[in-house]
Amino acid sequence: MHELLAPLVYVLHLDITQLAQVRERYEDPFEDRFNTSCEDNSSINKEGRHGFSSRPTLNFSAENEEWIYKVHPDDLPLIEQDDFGFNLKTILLGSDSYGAEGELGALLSARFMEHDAYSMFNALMEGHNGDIALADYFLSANEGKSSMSPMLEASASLYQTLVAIDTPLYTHLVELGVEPQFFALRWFRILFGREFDLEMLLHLWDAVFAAPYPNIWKGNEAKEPANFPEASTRASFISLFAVSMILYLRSKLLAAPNATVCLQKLLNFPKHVDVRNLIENAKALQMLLKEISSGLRPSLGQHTRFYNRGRTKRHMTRPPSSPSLHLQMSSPISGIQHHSGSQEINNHRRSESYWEQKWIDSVLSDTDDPVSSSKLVNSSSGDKILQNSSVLSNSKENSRLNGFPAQNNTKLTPRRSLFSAFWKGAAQLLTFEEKKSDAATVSVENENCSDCQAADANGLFMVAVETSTSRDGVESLKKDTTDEGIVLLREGQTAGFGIVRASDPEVSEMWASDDGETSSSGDDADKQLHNLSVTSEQYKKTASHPLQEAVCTGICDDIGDSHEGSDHECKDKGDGCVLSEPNEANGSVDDNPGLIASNEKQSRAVLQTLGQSMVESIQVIENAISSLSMDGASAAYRETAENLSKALLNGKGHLTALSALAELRKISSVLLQM
Amino acid sequence: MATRKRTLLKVIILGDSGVGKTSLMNQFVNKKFSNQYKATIGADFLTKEVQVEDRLVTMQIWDTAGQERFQSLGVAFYRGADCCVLVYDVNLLKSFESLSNWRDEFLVQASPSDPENFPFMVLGNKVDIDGGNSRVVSEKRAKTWCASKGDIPYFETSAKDDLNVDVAFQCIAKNALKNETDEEIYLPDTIDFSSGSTHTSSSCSC
Repeated sequence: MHELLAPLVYVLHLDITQLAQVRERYEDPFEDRFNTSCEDNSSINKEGRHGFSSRPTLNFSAENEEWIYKVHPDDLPLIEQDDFGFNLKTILLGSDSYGAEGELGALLSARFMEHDAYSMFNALMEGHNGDIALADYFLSANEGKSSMSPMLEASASLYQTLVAIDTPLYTHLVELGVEPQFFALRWFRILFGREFDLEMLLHLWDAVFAAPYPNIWKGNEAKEPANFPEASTRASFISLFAVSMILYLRSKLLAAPNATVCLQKLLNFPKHVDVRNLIENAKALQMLLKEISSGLRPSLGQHTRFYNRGRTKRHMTRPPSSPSLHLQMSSPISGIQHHSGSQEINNHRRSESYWEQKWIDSVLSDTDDPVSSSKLVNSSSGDKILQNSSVLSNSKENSRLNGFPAQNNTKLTPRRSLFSAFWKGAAQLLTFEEKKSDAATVSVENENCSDCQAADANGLFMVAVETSTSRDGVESLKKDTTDEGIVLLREGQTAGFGIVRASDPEVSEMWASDDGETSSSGDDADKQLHNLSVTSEQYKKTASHPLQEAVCTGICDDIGDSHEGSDHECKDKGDGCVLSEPNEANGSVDDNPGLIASNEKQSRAVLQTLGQSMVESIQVIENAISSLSMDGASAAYRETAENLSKALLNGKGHLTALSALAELRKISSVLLQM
Repeated sequence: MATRKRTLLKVIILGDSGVGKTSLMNQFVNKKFSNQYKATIGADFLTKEVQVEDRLVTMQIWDTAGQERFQSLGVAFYRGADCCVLVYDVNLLKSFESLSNWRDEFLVQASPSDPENFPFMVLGNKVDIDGGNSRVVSEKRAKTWCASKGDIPYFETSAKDDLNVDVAFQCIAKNALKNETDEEIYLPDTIDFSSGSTHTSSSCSC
C-alpha cells in the first residue's frame, strides 16, 4: 500500500515544507493582526506558530489577497509555481483557518499531516459518491456484489474499452491468451504506482482526480448507493489511461509471437515514459468514447453492472467487427485537436464525397496506366469503388456491417477527426488542407522520385505504399469509411511515398496464407485487405503468424467498415485470401477538411509524421522477423500457414524482406530529417 | 517435429506473503537477492531456459502475491500450470499450516484432470535465518505432510544463500516435463490457457 500512501504523504510534505518556507519569507500576511477580536474561536490558533489569523472571516479573504498583492507584488513571481501548481496565494488561503475553507480550519498544516494523509488514503480506498474505490479491487468475488470480482470486472472493462478503440490489438491479445488482469491488476490496485516514477505518477494522479464525476449522478447521489466504479468517469479515465498505455506498446505487442512476450512488455512498462502524453491520449480517447456512447452507435457490451443500470449509456464497447480507431501513441504527439461540431461534420461530408470522387477519378485514370492497370482495379472493383464513393457509402456500409440504420452517417467523422488528431501531426495535419494536399503530394513525389500514387481523398494527403501483395498481385484498396485513406497496392510498381517494394515473388508469397481458415472469416479477410490502407497503423488479424500480423501492422487506416468494396479483392484468390503485405509500411496522412492552412512547414511536418510512423512500422516488422528467425521452427507448427513458413525459412525471402526494410529505413530517415 | 518443439513450462509459486516466493524466483532466474521487501502485487513472472536432460525448456515462473486471492487473477491463470510450487517459511508455523489451503485452492482453481498426480513441490524457505535456530517447522514434519499429500517432493531452501534453489527448480522442471503427454503433436508457442494440463505421471524422483 505504500505505493498509494507514499505519494500522498510526499505531496503533503512538499506542501507543508513550502508553506513553512513561504511563511518564513513572508511573515507579514501570516501575522495575526486581529487576534484580539476572537481569541476564543480557535483553541488551535493558540498554539502560536500555527495559528495564523483570527481576524473576522468577512474581511479576511479579500484583505488577505490584497495584502499579497500589495505587500509583495514584486516578490510573488519569485515564488514560482511548483510542480503541483500551487502559488503563494493558494498556500496562504489554504493555510488560513478562516480562509477559503472558513470554519473547516487550516487546510494545510504540519500538525495534521498524518491525519490528512490518512484521510486522503481513505478516500482513495473507499471512494465516495460514485467515485472509484480502490478497496474494491482487493475484494474477491464472494465479497463483492456481483459474480465477478471487481478486479475482474475492471479488467473486463479495460478490454472492452480496448475493443472499441483498437480491435486488432485486442484480438491479438485475446488470441494469445493475454488476460487483462494479469497486468491490470497491478496497474489498477495501486493506481499505476509501480509503473511510473513518482513525478510522472503525480501527473497521472492529478489527471485521475481531476476527472469529473459523471453528470448523471449529480443530484442523484442521495438516492443512489455510493459505489459505481464503472459509472464514474474517473474509473473510465483510469481504464482509458490503461488503454493508452497498452497502445503505447502497440507495435511491440503486435510483434510479440506469444503471450509471454506480451506480458513481459506489459508488466515491465517503460518507467520513463512521459505520462503527460499518455494522459493526453487517454483524454482524447475519452472524447471518442463519449461519441460512441452518446447513442450514435448502440453499445453491445456486456458489462452487466453498467449496462443494467440503464440510466447510463456510457457504455463504451462496440462489437469487434466495428471499425477501429488506431492511434499511434508512441509518436510524439504534439497537439491534439478535437473536432466535433456538427457544422464541421457537415463540411466533412461534403468534402468527403468531393475528395472521394477525386480519388476515384485518379484511380480510374491509373487504371489506364499500363503498369498498374492490369491489376490495380479488378473489373468489378471499379464499380464497387464508385459505389463506395457515393455520398452514402459510409452509411451504407456501416449499416450493413453493424446492422444499424444509416444514421451513423456523421458518426464516423468526429471519430475520424479525433483519430487524425492523434497523429502527432494532428495539428498540422488538420490544417493541412485540401489545397495543400495537392502540393504535398507533389512534393512527396519529387522527394522520393518514385511514382507516387498519392491520391488525395478528402483533402487527404494520401500516400500509398506498397509492396507485394499477393500472387495476383495487385489490389487496390479503397477505404471508404475514412474516405480519406486510400491505399493503392500495385504490383510491380513501387508506389507511394517512399515505398519499397519487395519484388521477390517469394516474399510476396510469404504473406499469403493459404486460406480463409486462418482468418476468422471471409469477411475478415476482406476487411483486412481494406484495412491495409493508409493512415494509421493497423494490425490485421487474419493470420496467426506473427510476422504476418506484424506486417499488417503497418500503417493502415482501418476501415473495418468497408467490407463491401473489398469483395473483389479476395475473390480471385481461389484458395486463399491474400494478405496484403505491409512490408513497406507507408503512411498516408489523413487530414481533416475544414481547416485551412498551407505552408511548407506543414507539409514538412506531415512528412515527418509519415517518417515517424514508418519507423515504427518498420520496427514492428523487424521485431517480428527477428523473433521469427530466432525460432524459425515455430513457424512449423502452424498448420494453416504452410506456405508462409516455407517462405520464411527460405533465406532468400527473408533477405529480401530485410533489404526492403533497410530501404524503408533510409526513406524514413530522410523523411524525418526533412 | 517433436524435437523442434519449444516447450514452455508454466510454474506457479504460491504461499503466504513474505515467505520468499519472489526471492526464490529472483535467485533462480537472476541470481540476485535483495533484503528489501517489496510486496508482489497481483502476479509477475520471469522466464528462464533450462536444460532438462536433453531438452531445452523455457520455464515461465509465475510469482503470485501472498495476499492474492485466487479470484482476482481468474481461473485461466491457473489452468495452464504445469507445476505448482508451494513455499513456506520454516520459521513461521502459520505459513506452513496454510500450505494445505494453498494446495486445495489451487486444485479447485486449476482443476487439473488428474488432481492426485498433479506435480506439486514444497519449498521450506529461509533456512538460513539465525543459523536454523529460529525454525519452528522441522524437516521431518514437513516431509510427513508432503508424504501425506501424495509424495510431494520437498526441498529446504534459502533464497538468500542460494541454497538448493537451483536443484529445486531443476526438479520442478523435470517434474512438470514428465507430465507432458504425447498428445502434443504441435504446440503453439503461446501459452495455452484454455486447455487444462493433462498430467499423468507421478511425482519427482529427485
